[in-house]
Formats: sequence, C-alpha cells, structure tokens
Amino acid sequence: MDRWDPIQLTPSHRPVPGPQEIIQATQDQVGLYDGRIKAEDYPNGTVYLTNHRILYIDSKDPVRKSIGLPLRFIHGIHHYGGFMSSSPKITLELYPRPSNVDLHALSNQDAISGVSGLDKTLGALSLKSQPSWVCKICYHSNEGSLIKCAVCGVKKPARDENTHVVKAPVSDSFLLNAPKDLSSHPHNKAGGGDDAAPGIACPACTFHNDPFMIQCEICQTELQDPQSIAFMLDRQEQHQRSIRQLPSTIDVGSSSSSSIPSAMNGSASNLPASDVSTGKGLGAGKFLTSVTSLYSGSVTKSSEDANSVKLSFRGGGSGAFHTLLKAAMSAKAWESIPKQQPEDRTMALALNSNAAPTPVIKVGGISGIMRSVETNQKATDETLSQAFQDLEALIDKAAEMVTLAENISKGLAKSNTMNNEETATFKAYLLSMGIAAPVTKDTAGVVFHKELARELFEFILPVVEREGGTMSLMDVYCVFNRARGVELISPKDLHTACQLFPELNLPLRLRKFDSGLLVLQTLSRYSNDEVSESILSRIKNLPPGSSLDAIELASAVQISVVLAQEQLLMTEARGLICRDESVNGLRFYDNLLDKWEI
Amino acid sequence: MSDVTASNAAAGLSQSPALASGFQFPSIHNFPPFYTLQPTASTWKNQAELWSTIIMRYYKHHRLYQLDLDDTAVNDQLFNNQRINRRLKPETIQAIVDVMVKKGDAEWDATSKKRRAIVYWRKPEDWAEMILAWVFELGLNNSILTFYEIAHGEDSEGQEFHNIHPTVLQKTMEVLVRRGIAATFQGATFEEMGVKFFNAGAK
Repeated sequence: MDRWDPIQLTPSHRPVPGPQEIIQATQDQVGLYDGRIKAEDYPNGTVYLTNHRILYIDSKDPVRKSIGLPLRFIHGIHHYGGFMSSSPKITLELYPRPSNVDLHALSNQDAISGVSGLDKTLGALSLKSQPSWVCKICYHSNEGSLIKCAVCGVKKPARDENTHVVKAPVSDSFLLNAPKDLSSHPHNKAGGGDDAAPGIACPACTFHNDPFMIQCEICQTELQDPQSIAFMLDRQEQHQRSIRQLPSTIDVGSSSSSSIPSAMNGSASNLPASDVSTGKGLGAGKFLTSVTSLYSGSVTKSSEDANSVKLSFRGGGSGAFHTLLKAAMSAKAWESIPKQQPEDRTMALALNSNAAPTPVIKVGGISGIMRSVETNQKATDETLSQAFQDLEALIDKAAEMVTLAENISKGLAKSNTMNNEETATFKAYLLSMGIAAPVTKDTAGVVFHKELARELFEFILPVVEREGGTMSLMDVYCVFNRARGVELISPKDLHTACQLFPELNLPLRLRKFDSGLLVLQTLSRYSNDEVSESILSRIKNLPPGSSLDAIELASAVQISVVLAQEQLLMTEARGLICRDESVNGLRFYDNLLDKWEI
Repeated sequence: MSDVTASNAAAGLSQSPALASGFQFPSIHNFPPFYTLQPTASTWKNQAELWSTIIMRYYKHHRLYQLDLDDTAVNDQLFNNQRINRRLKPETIQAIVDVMVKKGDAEWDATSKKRRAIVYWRKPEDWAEMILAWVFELGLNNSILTFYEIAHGEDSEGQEFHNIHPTVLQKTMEVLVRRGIAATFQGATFEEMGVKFFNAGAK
C-alpha cells in the first residue's frame, strides 16, 4: 500500500488530472487488497483509470482516503473472474521499490536493526546502479529493476547462486545481490580463483573494465562507483576483522577469506540473537542475506504482498476495466509526457503537431522576437486549420483547442488593447469551452451519472453563482453541452445527474417549481425563506401601495422572468404577498389581507 | 380605530368617501388584490372574512337581504370599485358567499343553483327576539297576524324588520314555532300565512 500516494481532489471529490492525463474508466464499489489481505482502510470506493494512474477514492472518506498508483509501477496484470461469492479481482504486480524492501527487511528483522546505516548505504548503492540482466531462458536483455523477464516471465536469476549457499528471495534479490556482488570481488581476488586484475567486472557482460570507467566499455552498462565500492570493501574487511576477534561461538578460524561466507552462513544460523546484535554493523550484507534466509518463508510472502495489489470489483465491471487497463499499460502515456513549460504551451503544441521539432534558433534582438512571434502564429494557424478539417480531427484536437483558448484568454487578460466589451464577449466564448476531457458513458460506465453530476457541479457552480444562485435547467443544459463540445449529453442524463446532487453531498439542488419548471440552485439559494424574505422586503421598500411583477423582479435581481415568477408564486404561497390579477397582468402586493382588521 | 387609519396610510390605501347613503367602505376596499381570489389558502381565508364583513355591513346599512349573482349585483359599488378599476368576478362572489354560508351568515336559495343567496346580517334568532318584543309591546299576542302585517304592515313601520325578506321572515317564524312560542297557519300565498303568538312566549 505504501506505493500509493495521496492524490488531489476537486471539491466534488473527483480526481484532479495531471497534465495530459485523461480518465479512461471509472468503476465504483471497488475494494483494495494489499497483497492477499484486504486493505482495511480502503474497503469500498470508486476506482478511476487514467492513462497515467489508477486512483482510488474512498466512498466514505474521500478527503483522507484517496490514493493513486502510477501505472508505471505495474509490470503485470492478472484478471480473476470471480467465483461464487468471491468478487472478480484484478491483481496488479508492482515493481519492487528499493526503499520499500529495505523497510520490509528491517521490520522483519529487528535483531539486526543496528546495521541499518550500512544497509541503507548499500540500498542506495544498489538503487543507483541496477545492472541490466539477461534472461537465461530467452536471452532477452531486461532492465535492472525488473525481477521477471519482460518477455518470458522467468525470474531473474540470483547472479552468484552457484558460489553462494544462500539463495535470497527473488523479489529482494537486487538489494541482497548488491552486497554479494561487492563481497564477491575480494573473495575472488583473495582466493585467486578468478581474474585478479584490478578492474571492475561489468555486472552484465562480466568484462573487466578499468577501475576508472563509469560505464562498461563493451555493453555500456553502468558500473558501480569504484570509490564507493572501495569504501565498502574497506568496511567489510574491518568487519571481518572484528568477527575474528569475537568469541569462538562463531567459527571464524578459517584463514582464507574465501571461506568466510560459507562459515558465516553456517554459523549465523546458530547465532543467538544477542550475538547478532553485538555484531553491530558487521558484514551487514552477509548477515542480512543469511538471516533473511532464516526468515525466507515469511519474507517471501510479505514481499509478494508488498509487490502486488488487488482490486476487488464488488459491483462488477472488472472485465472492461481490465481491458482498458491493459490498453493504458501498453499505451505507456507516461513515457511521452511533454516537458515544456505551461506558458509555452502554444509553442509546444506547434512542435508536437509538426512532429519534427524545429530547432530553436537563438537569435537575439528584434529579428529574434519577430521570428518567435512568426513561429507562434504559424503554429497556431496550423493547429486551427487541422482542427477544423473535419469533425474527427476536431475531436482529436479538442484538448489542444481548449488549451489554445485558455492561452488566448490569458493573453487577453494581460493586454488591454481590445476594448472592454469585445474582450468580455470573446472571453465569454472561450470560457464556455471549458471541459477538456468530458465524462462519457465509455469512460465512466456504471457510475456515469455520478461522474457526470460531479463534472457538472464543478463546471456549473461558478456559472450558477454568477447568475444569482439559480439557473433554469434548460439554460444549464445549453451551457453545459456547449462546454462539453462534441460529447453531448441527453436532457435525461442531465436530469438524472442533477438528481444525484444530494446523494453526492454537493451544494447544488435540482428544484421543481409547482408549474413544472426545473431549476438548479445553490444550496444557500435553495432556502425558500431567504428568497421570500428578500422579495417581501423588496416589495415593502417600494412606495406605499405599489406592487411588483415578475418582469420587474427579474430585471432587479438579474434572473430569468420564469424564475422570478416562480419565486413570486412561492412567496405568495407562503402567505407573504398577495396577487392582483387585472388587465395589467399579475402583480403582487404586500399581503395586507392577512393582517387587516375592520 | 386610529391604528387602522395609520396602517391604511402606511399601506398607501386612500379612504373612500362616504356614499350618499352614509355608508363608508373600509380602505381595504381600495386594495387591488382584494378583488382577486387569492390562491393561498390562509390569505384567501382572511380575504373572504373581510369581504363577508363588508357585505354584511353594506347589506345591514342598506337593509338588503338578497344577493343575486347577476349584472346588477356585480356592477354594484360594493363589488365594483371604479376608483381603482377593479371588480369582483361572479365566481369570486360565489366563493365568498360559500364561505358565508358555512359560517351561517348567508344561505343559498335552494332553487337558484347558487345564483341567489340570502344574507343574514342578523340571525333569525335575533329577528325572532325582535319581532316577539314588538308583538308583546303592541299586545298582539294571542291574536293572529299575517306575514304581510309583520313585514309590511303599518304597525311595523319604523321597525328594523319592516320590509324584511320573506325567506328571512319564514326562517324567523320557524325559529319561534320550534321554540313553541308561535304557531303558523297556512295561507293561500306566502303573505297570507298567519302566525299566532302564545302568551307562554312572554318573559
């Protein structure tokens, strides 16, 4: 679970997508398993699949229990269809994280906690240079961080398993390998078995490089830093010396240092815990290795647990999720995150769309500025013309167009060259294009309406507030669909989504007036008291004997006439005002009838 | 009274001048919403109350008994306020009378299908007392009087029940008969009906 990070949420408890991040699937009623054990804190929530992450948002406590897992941590996906009362599950196998394993090793073995300093150094070292390895079955060259072959799935071999008795659990192997690798050099040297050249053997191709090489001359694999190796060796020799000085419980007697590993391995298992702790900092790598072997059963299990996460789909939908997850994994969107600065986006867009990045010519002075302006214009033109070529292209370019619109409005904010009215109108057009990645039935599936409600809430709240806290559903429908661009929704979907506001605890309400008019209101506006009191005081503030009609109210408080009418009727129904129907239409007066006495 | 005047002024309602007959409408009569049937129940209740009070006062002042939902009634200054150019619709008047009927202040003429109502600005029981007092005063007990003599006779001139509406008179007599104070005798017409007051009715 520690590989999941807390994520940012919008006020309506949807995830905030990162740059270029698009939500691809959503599924509710999903529980998390940490390894094989249910993760207590994450029993039921909504899982979002984006092209970069898997996000879990708890249904009960979304603020504190919302976490995300980058897809790049995942190297394997298994789908389990479910059987009888067991829900379908997707198991995600994760790449081990060094610090994570380190923690595990330590927490499992309190007895050797004293070695943590060195251990960490070793861990850091191993992290720094994980040598690539070649699968012994299919000969595929794998990245150092992989523990299984990317092609055939065969586990990474523990490199010196032939010479060493101890066989570390595979998932921990890279950590444990590091000290072994280090220790193997002096042993080899001392025993004179292998090449005694002062070079560094490449961990991948075994070529002995000059000690000052950073990369292998043959295969360019990163070599371990000779200086830190030297330091390690130094430390290790000190430890070995100290072991020799220890009481005879440990049979160090062997003079040849090459026998030390096996002797230690043999004796370590006999070591009482106290003795292990007195051997503080001694041959940490070895000790870790040997003691790990004692615990290997539990360690294997815990490391397996640490390196896999299960999503349990109690509400179904695992199949579609699995398919999309696989697609997202193979798309590897995270590898192509453009790294340009946000303010330089237009430029970057241009570069992207041109595919061949134009070299940035650094020319100072006016001509340089002119040229960059020209390039910008060209790029914008191209994006625009491409986008409008046909609808298909427009859909593809939607995100870019939105970015462009945002940039233009930002630019407008800076320059005041246009007159204000024009600017305002233009801005209004741009602003109403706001939703970059609209929630669709495809991406949200069963939770479509909930997601839609959240999206709608985020989008419409400022609009509704600008409109005075109330907006008719018709207007909402138009504005919302315009913002969604091509992903139009039906009135029924909108209606359903609006009805979910109370359930999702969002401060907007769909309200039906007696006449059948549907409006969206902010929660504060939802209170009849407030509206009717304000209308009553408005009427009372008029000159005595005057009245108010819907049109006057509408223009006074900037709402639609239909809505003003509804508010008047509502106030009337509460007995605060009374009506006068005449040839002049329906007008409302302070309710004198209610308190008149004759 | 001063409170009412003050609130009238606050509400911006002017006082109507007294009619030639001496009747003065309360200023609520100049309140435009007063002429619209209020859809809100509580408001309507008060509105109907106000109207029935005004109708009763107006009828009492002018010694009117019968309310007809025809053009004459609807155009009457009671229901048609030309100052503010508002008038009650016949349906609204009907609704108001319905409320009055429920309270016992009026009664629909059974044959008129809610087109005609009798307004009891005085209850039959009160009329009965009044007539009884008049009979005993004149020493007409134990003799037979016709309904005509009571309503239109010379002796009843100046009495409040002079020109009383026949239906109201009949209701009144029914009250007396029920109380065992009087007995009625059938006549050829309503006006020829006779009534005899017994001594027992004397107090």
